[in-house]
Formats: sequence, C-alpha cells, structure tokens
Amino acid sequence: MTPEDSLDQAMDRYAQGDETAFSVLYAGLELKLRSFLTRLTGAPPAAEDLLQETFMRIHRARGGFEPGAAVVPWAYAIARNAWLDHVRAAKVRGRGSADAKEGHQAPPAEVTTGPEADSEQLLIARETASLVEAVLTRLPVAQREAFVLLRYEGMSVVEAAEVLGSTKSAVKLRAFRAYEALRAALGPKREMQGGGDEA
Amino acid sequence: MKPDRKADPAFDTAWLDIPDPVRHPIGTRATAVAAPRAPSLDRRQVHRRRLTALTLSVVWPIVIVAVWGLRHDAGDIFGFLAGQSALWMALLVVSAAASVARGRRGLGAPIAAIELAVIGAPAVFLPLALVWLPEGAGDFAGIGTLKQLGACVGLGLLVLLPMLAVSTWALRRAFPSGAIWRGGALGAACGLAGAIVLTLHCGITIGGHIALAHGGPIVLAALFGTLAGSKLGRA
Repeated sequence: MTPEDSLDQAMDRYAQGDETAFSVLYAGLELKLRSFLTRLTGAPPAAEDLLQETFMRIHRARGGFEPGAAVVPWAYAIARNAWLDHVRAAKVRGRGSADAKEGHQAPPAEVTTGPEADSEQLLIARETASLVEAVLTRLPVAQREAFVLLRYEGMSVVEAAEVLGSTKSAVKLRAFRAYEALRAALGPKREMQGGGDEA
Repeated sequence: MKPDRKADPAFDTAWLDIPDPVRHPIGTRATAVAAPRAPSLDRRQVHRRRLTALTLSVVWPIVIVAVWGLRHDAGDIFGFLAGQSALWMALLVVSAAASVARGRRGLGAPIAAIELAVIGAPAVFLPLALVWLPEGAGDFAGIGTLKQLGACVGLGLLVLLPMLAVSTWALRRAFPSGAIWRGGALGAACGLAGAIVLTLHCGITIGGHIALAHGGPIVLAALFGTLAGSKLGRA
C-alpha cells in the first residue's frame, strides 16, 4: 500500500465521521500543501494562513468526499480555491500580490548549504531562486498555478487539468507561457554566468 | 502522482532547468492535530441531504403540473408529449450527471464534458422544440403576446428556482474544481425540468414563444447555476 492509498483511506474514515483520522490526514498532507501554497503565494506567512484555511475547508467539505476518490488532488484543488479567494480579497483591498512585496520572500531552494558549498555559487543560486519567485508572482494567476502544478508538484497534464477545472490544452498553454516568461527572465542571467541556456 | 512527461515532450528537459524558488518547508508538527470543532456534515448526513433534495426536485414539478394542469389538447397528442418529455428528461439526466459525476479521481467529470452539457442543453432543446411540433399546430410565426411570454417564463422560474435552491443546498461545498461549470450544468438540469413542465402545460406552438418562454428559462437557470456553483458549491 502506498502512502497515498493510506491517506485516501484516512480521508474515507474522516468523511464517515471518524475524527481521529484528521491527524493522519494532517500529517500526510501538510508538507505537500504548504509547499504548494508557498510556491503560489511566494510568502511563507501567507501560505501558513492558507494552509489552516485549507484544512478548515477540507473539514467542512469532508462529507462530499466520495468513496474511492483520491484525497491528494482533492486537497490540492481545495488549497487552490483558498489561494484564489486570497488573491481576490487582496485585489479588492487593492494590495495586488502584496504577500511577496512585504518582504516575506520564501527561502531559496535547491541550494547546497553544506560546508562544501562555494559562497559565490550559493549567492548565484539564491539570486536565481529570487528571480524565479519574482517572475512567478508577476505571472497571471492561471499561468502560475498551471506551471507550479506541472513543474514543481509533479502532476501530469491530466491531473493538473482536473485540479484546475480546466482542459488539458489550456493547462499546457498556460504552463508553456509561464515557462517562456521564466526562461526569458533567466536567460540573460545565465549568459552572465557563462553557462548559457540552450534548453 | 508520477509526472506524465511523455505526453508533453516540449516540457521534457527544457523546463526542468527552471529552479524551484522555494525550499521544501521542513518540520511537520510533532503533536497530533485535532480535527476542527466547526460543524461539518459527514458522508451519511450529506447523502441524506442529497436524497431529500432529489426527492423534492422530483416531486416539485409534479406538484406544479398537478396544480396548473395539462394543456388543453393533451389528450389528443399523448405521443408527442411523452416523446418530448422523455427527450428533455434525457437531457436533464445528462446535465445533472455531468454536474455531480465523481470523475476518475473524485474531482468531477472532465471539464470539456461539463461544458458540453451546459451549452448542449439549450442548444439541443431550441432547434428540436421548434421543429418538433404536435400535429395540427397553429401559427408558428411571431412571438405571441407579452402576457403569454411572461406567464410561461414565470411558470418556468417557479419550477426551476426552488429546484436550484434545494440542489445548491444539497451540493454545498461539493465542487473542489470546475465549480462554475458544474453549477451551470446543475442549473441547466433544473431549467430542463421547467421546460418539461411548460411542454406539458402550455399549448402555444408559436416559434418565438417556444424559443423565448420555454427555452429562455433553461439559459437563465444555467446562468443562475454558474453563480450558485461559484459562490456556494465551491469547496
């Protein structure tokens, strides 16, 4: 049995009213959802708030979780709804993508931080990560979510289309546009680094 | 979930070059997290609520037909009424099924199928209702009087609005994705119930009247459904 199967069973129990299954669900979903929301918001504090909101929504919607359904994409879809509501509320308040602008930038990733790490390499990696994050937060919502699901959450186009409630071709197009924007932003930086970007 | 990279060779190696801006958050909570205390329905309660809504949605149009009565020529055109009612009922079932289908992984039917159901309901209804008329039908040209239009639109709304309200109540927070279109399909199904009642009740065969007064409520219901889906149906 895979971890996702056991999570599905936990959600199934929770949907039937077994309150003790919630802690299993939380433990299994927290990391995935926090990562997803942090990538979407670019701001860990906002992601933390949205994570709590997502689990509250999961709690409220649990009775509608059908037997045999998969809880991970279901939870991703709910997390995405929480994020979209957050974005809309921020627009109404006239803040735009205020989370990332307030200095709550997410920590850089995929950086070797061990003693062998070269400080210059570390700096470049951090700058690149910051640039990616800045471009991501500037992208239209639809492009950002499609790219994050496909590139970082490891979903297939079919799975991402299900989570986003969109068609496969639309998801591909949005993700590709996001990729082009990121590549255009990263290109000059990579040329400066001497590596070029022939991908 | 395993990446399905084979289906998208354009993305294969190229975009793996874009680094992840976010370090994976570390450290999950060590202590067990208790379930929220906010009230929420479990599956049995949800099923009971949906069964109640389904029963009310079946009974309500029957009550309306019983109170408002059948059209004056109903006895002469039984085959026509049975055939059209069955066709609209089939469209209704398709729309409703598209809205509430579990789907492959619990996220509903593919969005293209739901869109087809929402757009297809009025798109199939209108030409068929205009072409398929009972024998001995009177004038076809025109739109009839405004009073006739208002009466039929009003009756259609009287059928569909309570149905849509009770369905939305039963499907509260039931759509994790595609809520707008799934709500639209639910609305179209309710609109088709209104169309069935109008087919059984109204004997006017004027084309404009059928299109506007009998088909209009389907479109209105689909629009109301999209609103209900987006505001109340979204998980």
